[in-house]
Amino acid sequence: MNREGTLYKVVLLGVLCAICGLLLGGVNAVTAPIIAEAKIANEKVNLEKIYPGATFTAVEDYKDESGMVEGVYVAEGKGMIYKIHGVGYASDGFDFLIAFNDDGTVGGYQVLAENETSGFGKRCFEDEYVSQINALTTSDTAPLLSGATLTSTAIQKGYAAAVALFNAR
Amino acid sequence: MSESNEKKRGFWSEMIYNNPVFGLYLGICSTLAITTTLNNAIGMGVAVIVVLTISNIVISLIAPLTPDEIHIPVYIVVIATLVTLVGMLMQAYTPELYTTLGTFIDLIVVNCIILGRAEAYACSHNVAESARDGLMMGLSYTFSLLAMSLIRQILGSGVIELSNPMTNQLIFSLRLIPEGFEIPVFTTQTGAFLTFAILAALVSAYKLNNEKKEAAAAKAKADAAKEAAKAAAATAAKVKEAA
Repeated sequence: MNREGTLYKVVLLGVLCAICGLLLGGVNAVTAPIIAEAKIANEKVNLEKIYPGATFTAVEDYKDESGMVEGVYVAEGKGMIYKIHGVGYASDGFDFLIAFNDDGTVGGYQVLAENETSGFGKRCFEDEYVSQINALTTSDTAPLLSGATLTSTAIQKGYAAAVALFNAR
Repeated sequence: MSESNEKKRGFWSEMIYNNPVFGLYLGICSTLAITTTLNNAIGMGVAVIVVLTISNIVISLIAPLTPDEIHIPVYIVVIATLVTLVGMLMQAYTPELYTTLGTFIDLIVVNCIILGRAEAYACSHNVAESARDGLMMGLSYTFSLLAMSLIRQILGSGVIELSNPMTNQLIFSLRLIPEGFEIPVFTTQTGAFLTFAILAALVSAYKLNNEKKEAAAAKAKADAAKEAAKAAAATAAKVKEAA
């Protein structure tokens, strides 16, 4: 083939790109699962508390209008987990996970970090309120707790944000 | 600079003379940006060594097949592929390091050192020479990063520390400047420029000084050769006379 001809250049570049594409595809196939695993490595311990032994993957492209959702995870064959950051009484806020089973019932409610007032806001993370949340479905709203209005309002909003994402999936 | 001179100067001298950062002023952007810690410098250095060596090898292999008009696109495809591969591997196995180095890994694609060496060296030399050039250039780039990051980390934070990039565990940490006596400006971009300027000036001064010495040595040698020639001519004349 004439090396100065256009055809030669097109073929050369085409072949080169094809080889590079194959290489990239191959390495991506190896590294993609490891990268996905590393992304949820920090959260995995907490996710396991809700769905023990499930396979988790992080969802990247979710549209959250409330600004409270910090992470969305799929537990394969079991449900969805949403990581919510709410601000109640303490100004630096609190983090919790809310999970919905595939049938729309609450799969779990797990507080990760909080600094609310003992006897008031903290009651939102104690057994009585937790069991109320655990009995909900995606068509409910999270109940308010008198004496812990700020904290439970933030939870109610976060719950609604998670429901909106669950319904939109 | 002649090839024989380069050989005479040896490894360390070559590191300084052909140093891409302080000698040829290539790849300065990433040098200024990432040399805040020793860990960053080593991570970036290794990434560049790998990309540069392999790209030099591949390019010296395909250069004879590549017509002049398309050699830039060909080199860019090769380099971009290598950088993406290194980026994916780093993201998978050294996620912490990947997060701190961030876009600068992807920006190795446009690091002038890589394309510069492909254009200036690899395309006209054989595979072994190109591989050696890539390795040496990568090493001297890493060497520059290490020098910058050591100075900046020690002066800026007072501590010199190294951690395992795979697990992010601290390997060692040594406080050299007592707390409260650090110069935080060295951790900022201002500090980066200051450090760069001082090091570049030092390298330049060394080069000038060395060049003078070399010129003097060459002159002395030439003079000695002249003297020797004169002496030889004189003896030859004497021998002739005697005969």
